[in-house]
This record gives sequence, structure tokens and C-alpha cells, in this order.
Amino acid sequence: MPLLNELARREDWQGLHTEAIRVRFHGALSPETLAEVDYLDAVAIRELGDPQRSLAEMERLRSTPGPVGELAELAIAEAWVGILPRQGVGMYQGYLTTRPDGLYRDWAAYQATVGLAQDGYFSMALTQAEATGLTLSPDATLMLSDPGRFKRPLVAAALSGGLPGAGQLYARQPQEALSALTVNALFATGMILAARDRQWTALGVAGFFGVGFYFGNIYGAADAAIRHNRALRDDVVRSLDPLAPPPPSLPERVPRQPRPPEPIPVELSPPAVEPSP
Amino acid sequence: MLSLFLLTVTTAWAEPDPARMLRDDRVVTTGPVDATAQLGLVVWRELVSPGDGARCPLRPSCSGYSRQAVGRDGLIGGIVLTFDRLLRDSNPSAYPLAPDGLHFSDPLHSHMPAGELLLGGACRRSRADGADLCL
Repeated sequence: MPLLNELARREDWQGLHTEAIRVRFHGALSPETLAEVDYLDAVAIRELGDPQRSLAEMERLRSTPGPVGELAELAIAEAWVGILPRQGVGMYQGYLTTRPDGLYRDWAAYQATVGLAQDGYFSMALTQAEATGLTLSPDATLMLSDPGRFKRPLVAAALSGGLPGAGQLYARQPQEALSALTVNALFATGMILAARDRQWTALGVAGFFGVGFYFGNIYGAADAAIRHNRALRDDVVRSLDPLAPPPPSLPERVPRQPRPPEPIPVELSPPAVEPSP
Repeated sequence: MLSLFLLTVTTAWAEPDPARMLRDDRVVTTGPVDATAQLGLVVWRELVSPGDGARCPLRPSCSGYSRQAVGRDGLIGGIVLTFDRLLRDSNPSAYPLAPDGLHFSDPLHSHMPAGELLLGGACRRSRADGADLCL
């Protein structure tokens, strides 16, 4: 086991996988040790690029009592966060609910909070942090509790529908606002001049591009609001970084102490008493 | 006209070409109308654009992005996304650097489908689920 732990620490996944196979083959392992070997091997398999097999192994280990079962549960939640974030967060929350004295509660609480914030559920993230005793920095609390800083995509779209570029300006993208206003103004002017001079072909071409740029500008405004919100979301998630507890790992076993040598029984004979004259 | 129709239909049901997938990030095969639009973009890309030189600072290129958009969102959504991209490519430094180090990265998957965004469907769903934001 110390070698496996060392390989995991060094992130030598191929070495860890090979060593796990060797240990399983040669050693008569106790069930606890075998579960630990299987867990470390599943981590190595995931890192070597076979997440599905790793996930199946973690599912099997989930019911193992002790830290291995907890770590497997957290690994499954982590995998789900990458696939369906809300599902993964739900699993972290499930861990917190079902394991009141779990070894990795801090990690699960942190991951649940970050997962919610990453998906835009800021008020839920704040509630989650408070419920699990995660102390947020003032910056993070302010960001999570102040939705007024964010831009609504539909408002941006409506503004740009009224005046091209206005929505981009609302979403704090002045260069895009200028570009949208200029291009739309040019095509509108072209269309008006073509209609005035009865140049129907020119009107058709200008109309196609003009209408395209107009709707593109409306879409762009809503998209700019979303990009603005994502940038702020990333700031929020970064502000949570310093709170990250150390990543979960198998607890170090107390190394077995060498037994002290047993004292050799020495029979002490009483000192010879010389007879007094 | 017949050959154009046949070419369109062939494009529509053609198997994706791995070499093109590497270049375009994604190849789509859709109905005849969308395939016609894509054919126009291919003509632009292969015949017109080489004479004009590489002008698009973003990756995938504007015509590649447009092909992907038409494939994902249909003709109308693709047109909207294309014009949006043309408006945005004047400000490339707002995007992260592409792996080639020469262009900026603006993949289609970082933008919502046009219909979902303009009709508010995606935002309505996420807010109904309890999200504070539409991301």
C-alpha cells in the first residue's frame, strides 16, 4: 500500500495501475486493503482515459464501509458534475445528508457550492454554503447575493431591437455596440436610397443583408449579456478558490511500530554475605 | 439544376468526412434546404475566399462557423448566428487565444441556439429550475 499511495501522489497512473494488478495477483489481502487497492486502481483507470470503466468500479465500491465507500461516492459525484452538473451537485448534497459524520464533508460542501455557482444558481449556492458552515469571503458573499450585477439577455435583445447596439452597450460591450450600430445604419441607409431610386435589385440585396444584420444584432445583444454573466460567474467561482479544502484521499495508516524486544529475565542472586568473624 | 439537386441531396445524406471534421470541428448533414445553404458556403470557402485571403480572426473561420450554425440551428437560426458572428469579428481580442496561437477561439458550442435565446426558452427553463441567471 505505501507504494500505491506514493504512485498516486506522484500521479504515475500507469505505474499505479500496473502495481495494483501485481498486488492483487500476489498478495493475500484483507477486504479493507483490497478495497483500497481497487479504489486507487479505479482512479488510475479514470486518469488513463477510461472514465466509464472507472465509474462502474466506483459504483461497486460505493457500498464498501469506511473511507473507500465515501471516496467512491465523491468520485461518482465528480464524474456526474462533468456530465450533468445539477445531477452531480445533487449527489454531493446526498452525501452531506446521508453521511452526517463523513470524513470528507468539507470537500463535498465546497464542491456542491461551487457546482451550484458554476451553473448560475447563486442564491442556492449561498444557502448551501451557509447550511454547511462554509465561510465565504466578503467578495464571494457579495457576488453571490447581488444578482443586480448581472445582465438579462431578453432586456439586451429588446434594447437592440429598438436601437441596434443599445443591448450590447447594456451588456458592457461598447466595441460590439459601435459595430452593430454602424453596420445597421449603413444597410438602413442603403435600403432607403435604393427604395428612393427604385433600384429593386439593390434593395433586395441590401434588404437581405440589412435584415440579417438586424436580427444578428438582436441575437448578439442577448449573447453579449450571457457572456457578461459568464465572466461574472467565473469571477464568483474564482473567489471561492481559496476556500477549497485539500482534495480527499485515503487516510494514512499509522505505520506499524516494531515490537520492543522483550526483556531477558535475569535472575539476580542476592550478594553473598560474608560471615563476620 | 438536376445536378445541383443531386449534389445537394448527396451532401445532405453524406457520411461525415473525418478530415473535414478535424478542420471544421463538426460536420452536419441535414435536409436539402440547409444543405443548399451549406453548399453555397462551401463554394465561398473553396472558390471565393482563397482569392480574398484569410481575413477572419476567429476560429472556426466565419464560413466554417456558418456551416456549423446552419447544421445545428437550421437555415434561419444559422443566418442569424452568421450575421451575429460577422458583427463580432471586429472585436477578436475579447475571445481566448486559439490553440494555433494566431487566431482567437469562438466555437459554436459557446453560443446558445438562436431560437432558444431569442424566444427565451433556455432562460425560462433555467429560471423555472431555480437558477438566478441564464448562462
